[in-house]
Amino acid sequence: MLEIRNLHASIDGHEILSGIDLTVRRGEVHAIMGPNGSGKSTLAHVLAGRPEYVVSQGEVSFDGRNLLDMTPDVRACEGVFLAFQYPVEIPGVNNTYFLKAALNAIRKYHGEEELDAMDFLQLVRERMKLVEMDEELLKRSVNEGFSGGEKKRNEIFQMAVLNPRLAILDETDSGLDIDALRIVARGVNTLRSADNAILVVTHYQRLLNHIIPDHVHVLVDGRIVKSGGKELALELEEKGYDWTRETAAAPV
Amino acid sequence: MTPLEIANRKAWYGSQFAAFERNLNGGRASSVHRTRRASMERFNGIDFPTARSEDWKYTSLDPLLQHNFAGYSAVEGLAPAAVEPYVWEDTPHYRLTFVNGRHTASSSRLPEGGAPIQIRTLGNVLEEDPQGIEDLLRSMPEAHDPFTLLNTAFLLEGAVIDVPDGMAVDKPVHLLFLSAPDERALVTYPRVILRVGREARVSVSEHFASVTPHVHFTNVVTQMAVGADAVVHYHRIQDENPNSFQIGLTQIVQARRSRVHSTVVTLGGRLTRNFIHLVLADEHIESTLNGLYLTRGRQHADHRTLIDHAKPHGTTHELYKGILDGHSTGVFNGKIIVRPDAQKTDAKQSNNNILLSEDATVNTRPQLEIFADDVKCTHGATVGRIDEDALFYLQTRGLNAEAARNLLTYAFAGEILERIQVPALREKLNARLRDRLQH
Repeated sequence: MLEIRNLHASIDGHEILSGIDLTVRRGEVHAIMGPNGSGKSTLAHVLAGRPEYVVSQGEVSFDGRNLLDMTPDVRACEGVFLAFQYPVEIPGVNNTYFLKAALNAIRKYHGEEELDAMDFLQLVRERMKLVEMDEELLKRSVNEGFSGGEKKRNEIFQMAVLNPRLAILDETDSGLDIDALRIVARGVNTLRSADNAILVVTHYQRLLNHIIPDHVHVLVDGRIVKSGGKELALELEEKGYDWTRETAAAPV
Repeated sequence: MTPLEIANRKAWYGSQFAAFERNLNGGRASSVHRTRRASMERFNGIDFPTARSEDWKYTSLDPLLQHNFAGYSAVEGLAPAAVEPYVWEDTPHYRLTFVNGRHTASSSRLPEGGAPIQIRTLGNVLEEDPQGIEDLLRSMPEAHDPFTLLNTAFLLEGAVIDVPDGMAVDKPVHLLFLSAPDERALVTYPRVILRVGREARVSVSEHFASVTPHVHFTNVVTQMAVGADAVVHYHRIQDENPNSFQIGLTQIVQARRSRVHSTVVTLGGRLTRNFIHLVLADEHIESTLNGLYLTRGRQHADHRTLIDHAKPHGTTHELYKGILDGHSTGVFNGKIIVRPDAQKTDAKQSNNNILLSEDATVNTRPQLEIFADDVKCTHGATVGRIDEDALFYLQTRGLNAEAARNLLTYAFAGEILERIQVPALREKLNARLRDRLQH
């Protein structure tokens, strides 16, 4: 589904990603772990199409099509979803209105009819339950005045409504207490299916206790230095990131 | 413009006044006409302001002064079908319609006997009760600028609205000023007079629009005397075509414990100057001044407010927002005076602007003159662009760049429009805004 080959990306002339290779297949959950500043969030944003990042080398294909050629909205319509680490507050834009506009933009892209207000409301009510979100939040402006936990739930709620094929969760666990973490993880697990894939970007292992990955990759200084199964996350938790740095530096 | 050109323009208005007088016939003997003449004489004694004048530093009158505007229209109103697009459907309301400055009775809807409001044309009132008009003119702050002087010199038509004490008016009032093409470029001088009694409530909307893109000039003065404990909702919609000119003064004098909520929305005009002069003449007054200006192309919109806190315990909240595109320019000047007597004043002023193009500019300037010591006054101004983070966020959810930009712009403007209490007006403006944002 997602093929990343030798991806180099920079911002303001500083290279952050220095040759990433990664293959994600349908139905898989991959975790990208790494220390602060390793390039995890950059990878997430480059995949979503943030314009500030310049891709200088490499290729990314999504179902055989060149993802890097697509604008962020086309990527979204093709099924890429980024759950932000810091969801943006948008005063004056109603949460429900926004979500309906987004869902209908995606439906239109696929030549489907727009959902009417009733069907949309039904879908929204059903998906809200997944993340135990308060219906009051729907009436408010997007993320405005939301607590940290509410913002993260709103991201997963949006994901539940838009039903992406590739969801990228950027540090979704940061700032969540253990109860909120469980709720968010349960929401994500419900959305897991054989047809879609999830990329979990995280610094800590604790989210991976709830969202069990099929593969774990360790990102250091813009490169994947180690890949393994879910047990790799536990090993990292125990030994710390310095351990991977040492292994990476060792001659093969 | 050269001094000679300016002198020529003044002479032009002088010749127009002479023609105006000739047409008045019997009206020339009235005391109101003495007021007109006095105003014209004062106009003759001053010059049109230039950029050297502090109040006109960012607004050049050159484009306006290049035209010789004629004062009389050959057009006799408009067919009701031509007026229809501007009418509030499905909302019971009172309406006075003017076309090129003349009252068009067929498109007006006046209160019947027994209604809690009296709505008359100025033309009628000048015949029936000229003394009442004179008393009111004297009770309002004196204006010294050439345009207000011209408006008084050519005082003839407009709206006079009276709400008796204790009356809550059942329907909003819609004053519709339409400009239709004429063989010459026209100037109109509407005058709106609103007298609101004690404990009365009323909503008045002045709506200016042009039916085609012809050049014209609206020089409007609105005067509002708000009684004790009264509540007024006031709206000024400037939606004239982008070749037109509008200079407007709104004077509001509020009595004890009264409340005024004013909203100005400027979408049209080649050059618009909107000035609200608010006087808090007694204690415990509350006022809200909201404004929204949307400009593009070569439009220029200048909004200014002068809030005069004369007495204690006055509260004023002011929020003006601007969205500027193309090569358009905007000006906001918000002056607040807190007189020595006006302790416990609470004045808050904000002006926020979004520039949608590299070539648009805005000059924003708060002016606070505070002579009392126990007051709370804050002001803030911002000039920015569409928030790139918000734009990216919306795009990652599937909205294309244009739709995302429009949604953000619409949201920025929405804060002003959603405060409008007349649903029909709010809906009309929302629709206009959506039109405008889709280019």
